[in-house]
Amino acid sequence: MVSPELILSAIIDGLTYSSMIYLAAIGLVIIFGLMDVFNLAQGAFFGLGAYLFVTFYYMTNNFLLSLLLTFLIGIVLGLLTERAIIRPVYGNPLAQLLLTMGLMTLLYTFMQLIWPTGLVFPETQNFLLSGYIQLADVRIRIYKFVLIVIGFVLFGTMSTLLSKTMIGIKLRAGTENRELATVFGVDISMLFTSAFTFGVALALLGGALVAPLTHATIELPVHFSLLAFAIPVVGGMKSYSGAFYASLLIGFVDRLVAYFIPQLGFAIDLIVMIVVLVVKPEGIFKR
Amino acid sequence: MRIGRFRKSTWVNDVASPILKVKDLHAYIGGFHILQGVNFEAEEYKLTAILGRNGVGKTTTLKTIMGIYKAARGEVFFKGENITNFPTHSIVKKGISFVPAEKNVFANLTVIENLKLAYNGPKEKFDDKLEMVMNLFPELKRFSSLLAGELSGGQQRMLALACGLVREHDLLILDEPSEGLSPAYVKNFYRLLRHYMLENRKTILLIEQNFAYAREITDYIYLMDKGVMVTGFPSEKIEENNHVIRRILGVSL
Repeated sequence: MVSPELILSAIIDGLTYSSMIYLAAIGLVIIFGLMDVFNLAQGAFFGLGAYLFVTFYYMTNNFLLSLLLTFLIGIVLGLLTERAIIRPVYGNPLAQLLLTMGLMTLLYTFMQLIWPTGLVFPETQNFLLSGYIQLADVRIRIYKFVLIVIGFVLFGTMSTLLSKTMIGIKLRAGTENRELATVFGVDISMLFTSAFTFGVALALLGGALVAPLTHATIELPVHFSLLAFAIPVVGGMKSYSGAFYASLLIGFVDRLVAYFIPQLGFAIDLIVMIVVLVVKPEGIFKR
Repeated sequence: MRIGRFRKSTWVNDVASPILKVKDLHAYIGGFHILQGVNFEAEEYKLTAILGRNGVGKTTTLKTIMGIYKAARGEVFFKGENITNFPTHSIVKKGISFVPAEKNVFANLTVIENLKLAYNGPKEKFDDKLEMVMNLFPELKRFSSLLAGELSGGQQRMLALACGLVREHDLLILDEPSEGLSPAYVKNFYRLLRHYMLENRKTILLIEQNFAYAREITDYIYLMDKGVMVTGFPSEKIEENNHVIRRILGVSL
């Protein structure tokens, strides 16, 4: 019989994993939603975030400062990528796919070259980062709860940003109809740059945030790239809230299967994606 | 005084104080030469209408003025400044408010969000502007928290016009505002529009398919055909231009 401790552990893992997937996918969804650019390098940026964050942590021994530095580098990289690679090929999806694929390969090569053996996030004295709590017979890492909170807070922040602020209204307007947005006085070029930059910076921040649990390895961006690409398919290609619910679905399905039918492994995530594509190609959480 | 004269295939008129001046405008869409040298002017504080059959380039003219389509040749002057091929958002900023014929509101934004997005004036004056358009279209007040996509076709049109009016502007450009509206409503709508123009000293340029509506409300009429303005005349001289109207629009007075 399945013990309650095992179920509890699976639920916490499911929530943690959902948060991690959401962190990896939200930038991709923002960029695709507004600009129709499917940034294949988004997962590589996520991995780079993990590597940079752990490096900065070794240098500064300061969690928040390392996060901030990683995010700032994300802003610079996002801005440069949009200006140098994406902007010249707006409206040309094939060129965008090829260029972002090239960028992804470049980033992977760069990461393997600089950090060939990966980077381990060190044990710290910080309770939130490295501490555990005992729930019944299960020992659970506190940082998992931190990640869960971060995922939900990010979703809440994104929802508020999109519904309550002018920038959110502009983003939603630009996502629905770019031409009309310009007629409404929106500087769409500036909005594109901001959204792409923010999307890439979010990917690096996401990678940084998961690093204390996953460490920085070359498998990290590969794994989360595939998961992140499944999110817009399951949640709806241009649905910001759908990305969150899809992350929860994929996160839970993945973890529950990992606990109870481990033989299925990663295949279950792809099965969910394929089922959605066949049954409801517009995404199950599309409004 | 306006004096019109024919020039080969294009028409030029001399308006006393044009707020908008379009000179020899050419545009290509999908490789087709749609605008083949459009010339016209819109006089300040007047209502000017462009009439023509489907597919003659009326909407393309407006979208090229707005910078949505690229002008291959020619110039657009607004308040004396050359704004040809400026980005659309900066043309809007300069004081031209454009209401497209179709897909003219954001279906996934609420009525109030559409109006907020359209407004580009000082924050503290938004409420006054909002009140002004809500008085013009009281029906919108009831639906302010609904998504625009949930409104009926007529209500969406009303919202589109309200967005055009709430935006700070000197020139309001409307692409077929009466399309899809019931005749009874159109009459009232144009009455409101004219009242708004006179009250607020605004200039309006619009495309209208229906000649009967246009002759009642406009100060100046241009007839467009095959990518050029064929002729232009003050509304009171409609009778004199009956033969051209019949040839271009296929209707007679």
